[in-house]
Amino acid sequence: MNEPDTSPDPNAEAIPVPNAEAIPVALLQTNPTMTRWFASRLWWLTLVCGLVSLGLFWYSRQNTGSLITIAFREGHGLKPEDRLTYRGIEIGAVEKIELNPDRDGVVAHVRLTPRARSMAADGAKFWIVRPMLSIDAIRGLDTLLGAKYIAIDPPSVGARAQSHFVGLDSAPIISPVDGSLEISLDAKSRGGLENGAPILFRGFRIGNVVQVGLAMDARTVRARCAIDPEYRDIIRNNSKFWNRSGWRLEFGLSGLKLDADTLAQMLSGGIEMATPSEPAPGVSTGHRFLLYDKPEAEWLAWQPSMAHGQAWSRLAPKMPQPIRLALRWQERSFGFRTNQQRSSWCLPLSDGSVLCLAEQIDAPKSALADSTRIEFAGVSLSPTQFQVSNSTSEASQDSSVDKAGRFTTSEPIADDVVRWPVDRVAGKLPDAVCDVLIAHADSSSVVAIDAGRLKKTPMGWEIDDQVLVDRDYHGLPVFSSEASQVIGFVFVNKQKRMIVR
Amino acid sequence: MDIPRNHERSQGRTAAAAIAAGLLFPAAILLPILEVEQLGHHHQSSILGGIIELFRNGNYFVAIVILVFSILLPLAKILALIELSWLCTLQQRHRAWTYRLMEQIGKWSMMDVMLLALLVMLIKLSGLVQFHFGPAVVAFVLCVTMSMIAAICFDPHAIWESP
Repeated sequence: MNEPDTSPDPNAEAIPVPNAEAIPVALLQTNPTMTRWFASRLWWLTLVCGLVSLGLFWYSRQNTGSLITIAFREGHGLKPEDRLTYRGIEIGAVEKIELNPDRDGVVAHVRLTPRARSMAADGAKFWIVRPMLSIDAIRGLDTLLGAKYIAIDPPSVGARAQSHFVGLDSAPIISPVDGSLEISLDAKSRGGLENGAPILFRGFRIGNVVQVGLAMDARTVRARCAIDPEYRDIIRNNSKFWNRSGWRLEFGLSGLKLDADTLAQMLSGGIEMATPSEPAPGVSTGHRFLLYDKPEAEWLAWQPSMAHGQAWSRLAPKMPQPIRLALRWQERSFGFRTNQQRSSWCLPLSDGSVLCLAEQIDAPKSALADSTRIEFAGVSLSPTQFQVSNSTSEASQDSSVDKAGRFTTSEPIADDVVRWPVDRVAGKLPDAVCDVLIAHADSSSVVAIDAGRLKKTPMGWEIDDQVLVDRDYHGLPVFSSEASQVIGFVFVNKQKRMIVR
Repeated sequence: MDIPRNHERSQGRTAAAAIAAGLLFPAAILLPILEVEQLGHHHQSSILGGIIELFRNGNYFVAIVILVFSILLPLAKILALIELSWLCTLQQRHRAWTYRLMEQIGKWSMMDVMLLALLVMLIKLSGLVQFHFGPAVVAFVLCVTMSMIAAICFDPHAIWESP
């Protein structure tokens, strides 16, 4: 049996054997047998295999999502392999579902996909989607034929990781979008209102009812509502809300009259709202309104012009900030000196000049000498203290309407005055009418005017009668959001409301 | 320095390959080996997981057969090879006994057969369901290869040679 040591190894070709010189003799062993034992080059392969094994474990860990358990009260026919979906795609699957030890519920073991690992965190809500057919809602029809699935309302970003959850019995209350305006409406009765019912302005959805419940003292029904961020400027202190749930059947001499807007509204109810033509300042979250049963005829006729929408929200801080300006002078009438004043608005510019209506810096001929003063931003200027520098070519335009004037002063003006960049002032009105905003010191009073409400005349742009622009708006700068420039001023007198330059 | 004797070299190689196989073995049986996708349902299972499933479903016979021939015996073979290549620590009698045991085990260890079964399944079922091999396949193939190399490298003469 004993073969001589020098006999060739049958596998010498397959596995190269290191020659004696290549043997790392420095290996700690004093035992020469052990040294030779470790001499084989195959040990590299062992190392590689070890790394491959570790690598595979690591790879596999990366690719299997975390396992979470969700306790439900009812299984609703959920089976292993059923999906966990979010926004219509699968982010996990039920691995198994079993009765809990106390036999009063079921526990679903769900394997999340690796990408959805962050979904398993504090605040995640799970519920089983199943078909719901009731008088007021039809939901989850896709589960009627297909498999049931678990839906998830994701946790907020950065929430603490969790692996045990308690599922909800039904879909949760829709959480309002960030930045929504939350208001509550008090009604005498529920009147068909459902969670999720829309809030409509001119039949247009601007928000929805989050939750309907009894008030703390059970005297009223309280509907918590969320207005979408882009429409929050439509809700004002004096807005009116009424319930237009379901449909109204009227039977009278004129016949039968069915009043219903859309099928969806008929089913889920809705709240309609209106804001008066003179909108009051906006409200903040938590404001409470009354919910009426039906609208008054007058409410339906209201036509406020309110700036709203995402574009406006972004624009709001960048709007020109006009400040009050008054021109005072003295006149002699019937032998007495009487004080006269004309006040409107002006817009301080970044180059130190102030833009306003020309009439504001030009006292009438009847004014007594040296009695004229301009007052704004806490300073009072006598005619010697300011220089009129009218940049617009006044001569070429019709002089029957006041034009914008501009003056500079060497007197110091308060630092807190917001100055409008001078390069964002247009030299004249644009050639064609465009959508404009009337800037106001109070951002809730900003009026938006659609281009369709403006008519071009030789003197300026005439504003439609439908738009509410009262006397107080006289002299306010007009801003074109398109060009992001101040294009002119509002001019209001007894006959006309115009935008002039 | 004396030139290493043949059986010592063979022992070194056997030990290296057997240990490599031993390192790959857990990955081969614990990680998912098959991923099946059918009608939108995704299922993946490892060898060990599959055996546990079989036990749960009451297929004890099949489960035990696979457990013994695909897990226990290959594992025993790898361990025996490692032990044999570590000759200096063993008594000669024990060595001979282990060698005979290893010879017997080797005949019944069916890891390579299982690989074949997987391939057959892939070809047969590829029309019906979507098949993917999981990461364990790599470990499995390498493990089979390494244990084969270890068996080939092993020089039984070393057993009866005094170290």
